[in-house]
This record gives sequence, C-alpha cells and structure tokens, in this order.
Amino acid sequence: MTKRSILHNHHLASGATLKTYGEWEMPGEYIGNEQEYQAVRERIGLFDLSCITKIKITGESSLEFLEEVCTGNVSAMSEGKILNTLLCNEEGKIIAIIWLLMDEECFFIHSVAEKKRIIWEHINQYAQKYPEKGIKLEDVSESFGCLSVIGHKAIEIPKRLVSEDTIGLPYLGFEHGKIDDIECLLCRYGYTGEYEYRFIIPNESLEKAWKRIEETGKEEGILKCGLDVLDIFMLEMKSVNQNRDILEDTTPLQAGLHWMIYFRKEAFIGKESIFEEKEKGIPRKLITITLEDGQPLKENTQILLDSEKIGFIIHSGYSPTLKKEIGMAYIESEYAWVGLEFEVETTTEKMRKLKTVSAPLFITKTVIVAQEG
Amino acid sequence: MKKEEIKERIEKRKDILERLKKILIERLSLPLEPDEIAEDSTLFGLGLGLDSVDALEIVVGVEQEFDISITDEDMQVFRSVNTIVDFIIEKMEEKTEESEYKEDNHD
Repeated sequence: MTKRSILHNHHLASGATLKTYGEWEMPGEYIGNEQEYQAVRERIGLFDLSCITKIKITGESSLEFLEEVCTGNVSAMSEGKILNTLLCNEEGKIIAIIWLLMDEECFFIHSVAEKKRIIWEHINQYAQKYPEKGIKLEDVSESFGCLSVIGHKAIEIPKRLVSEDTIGLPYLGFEHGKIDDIECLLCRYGYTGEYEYRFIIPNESLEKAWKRIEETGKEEGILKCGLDVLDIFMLEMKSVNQNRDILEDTTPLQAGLHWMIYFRKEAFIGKESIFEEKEKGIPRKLITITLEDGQPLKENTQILLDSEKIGFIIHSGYSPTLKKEIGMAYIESEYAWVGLEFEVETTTEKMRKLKTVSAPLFITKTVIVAQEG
Repeated sequence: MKKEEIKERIEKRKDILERLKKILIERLSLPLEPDEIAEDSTLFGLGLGLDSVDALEIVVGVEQEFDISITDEDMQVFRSVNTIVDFIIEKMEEKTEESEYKEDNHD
C-alpha cells in the first residue's frame, strides 16, 4: 500500500505535484524546479523528507555489529556524531549509502526511501546470523517525519526555532532539541553543498512543526520544495545518487566512494572483495561530464572513442548555475580521466561531444562563507 | 580529440595526481595509500574531512613541489583533489607559455 506523509493533504492543497519514491507518494515539485532550485542556492528551501528510511538499532553489541556491517570507521564515532558510510555485500558490491547516527543508547540508520527493504533485509540477515549479539532492529520510518531546510540561509531556522547555540552544531552532528514544545532530533547532514538541517519529529507534531518553520523562514524567503530538485544539487556536487548512479554490480571504488571506507579496519563485510578489486584494478569509474550544446542526454547513451564504446551515460540533468547539461558516466578506467573530450552516440549524423570534468562543479556561496568564516 | 592526445593528457594528469596524493598523505599523515583516495574526493566536510590548517599545509606542499604560487583568491580551487590538479596544470601551462614568450623575445 502506498505510504503518505502526515502532510499529504497539505501538499495537495498547496498544489504540489506528487510522485512515487519507493513505497511513498511525496511532492515531486511544488511551483517548479527552477524556482525551487534558486530558493535553495540563494535562500532556503523547505522539504518534507518524511519518506526517508529510519531504522533504530539497539543492543549492547550494536557498535561492534555495525563496525562489521558498515565500511566506515564506526569505532571512531561518538555520541551526537553522524557517519556517511556504505553497506556492501560479501562480493564488495554496494547495497546502500547510509547516514549512521550514534545516539546515547542506540544508533539510527537514515537513507533514501527506495532502499528501505534492502537495508532492512541486509542488516537483519546479519543480526540473525549472530543472535548472541542481541541486536534489535526497529523500523521507525513511519512513526517519525523528517522536515529539512536547505540553503544558503538555512542556518537561521534552527537558530531561531531551536536555540541560538545550534549555530555551533558541526556538519555531521546532531542533537536533541525542541521547536516550542515539540521534541525533535536536529541533524546536520546533506549533500547539496548548502547548509542543511533535518528535523526528525514524531508524526503527531509534524504539521505544527512544518507551520512554525514556514512562519519563521518567511522573512528569509523560504520556499516549499519537492524532492525532484534535490537530484540536480547532487549532480552539481557529484554526490552519488544511489537510486540512479549505483547499479547492482557497482563497487565503492568504481563509484569513487573510497572515503566512505575505513581501509585500515580489520574486517567488514565485503572487505576482501574490495581489496581484491583494488589490487587487480578497477574496470570502470564514475566521472562527471558536461555537454556544451544545450541538448539533454539520455541514460545509457554510449560514449565513443574512435567509434569504440568506452562507457555510457548513467544520469544527467540541466544545471541552472552553469546553464548547461551535466551528468555522470561510467567510463573504462583507462579513459576515466578529467580534461578529455569524447563523442557520444547519436541517432542523427550530427556529432555530439562531452567533456570529462572535475567535481564538485562549482563552489557554493555557503561553502565560500564557511571557508572564510 | 584524437587517441594520442587523450593518452598524452592522461599521462600528464596521472603524474601530477600521483605527486599531489603523495603530498596529501605525507604532509597530513593520512592513514591511506594513494589508490585509496578518489580523484573527486572533496577536501572538506564529506570526503577527506580536512580543516583549514590542513589546507595551509597543502598550499605549502603544492607550492614547493610544483614551483607555483597560490594566492588567497586561488583558495576556491581547493574543493577536491581533481580541482587542485586542474589548477596545477593551468599554472604549469601558464609558466611554460611565459618562458616560451621570453625565449622568443630574447631571440
């Protein structure tokens, strides 16, 4: 059965266009991607991300368990910290990209809506395999909503609504707080290159919190946004979109997610296979591309060198900041280097060329301010 | 772009990238092997998770290794390993052009 946010009727009444994300029906767009894009890059966008996967993990050995299940350095975490890491299978293929939150007496896994079932099955399988660890999993995806403010001025929202002190909340950190009398978990993580704060709130208080955020952000020009626009921010920053960029057989090294792995760790699921690939060499790599002719690219379009296929487009979109088509492609490692030009297969006689480029594609105002600050 | 030109560009980039990774690992004491750093790894926040002190260390390392100078305005290129490589290539090409110009005028 299709799942809906507590704010579903509000989204409908506000004219949002609904789309399906995993099992959820959520706003894909509010007033249009272009305006929503500008709101985030210049001011603040307000998103209902209630569909995200939220799994609670408890048990005395949960740290030890997660250390084995995740590729990152879980042992180095402390309370209130967030780790962006991977779940891989024994073959070293990516199962999911997750955010792991370490709370006082439990951990939380957050991820995209589309990966909930596979994440649950994967970790549950290992929890069952080692019953002596006493790991308890609880799917809290439908008990808690998630509201997110993203943008150059997004910091104003938690500062005014939760506490002035939230200005000190570091990236990849979270804390318990309150919006008026509403308990929330305020998390600072994201992949857009902008300030991003997520409020995890019990469903019964979600509507009230949404209204308070809207009121508070009015002065800063806050705009309600749908989920679709997030994709272009990710492309611009080369934040891997696991629904599109990760195929069934993609490994972390092919996707350029080396930094999500703690290579010095004694053991984790998939380690042997990942090291084997590292020794033998990676067959293909995910690389950012741009097209200068203004025409969109289709997924799976072949990339050619002297008429030979050397890769394919996995995902593309239009960047309003760069005013051009950008995308991601898998290219054979030998040629997966920045600063090159290749032809793309077309159905017409007109030749089209793409460029391989460095990512992130540009530096956002938020990052400039943070670096200067 | 012809295959020969592509291969030439790759070789040039590979050389700079290897030298840059060596600077990062040695100067910042990163517990990593060169092939454990992805070329598009961001330097701050996610990615390598460095801070402003690390950034200064990289600046000094890059200036010494590649004999180029980096100004405050150039700091915006310090987004990822790859964007630093772009910057180094650009600076090295500028230097080559300058010395060729000087030689031409000398003759």
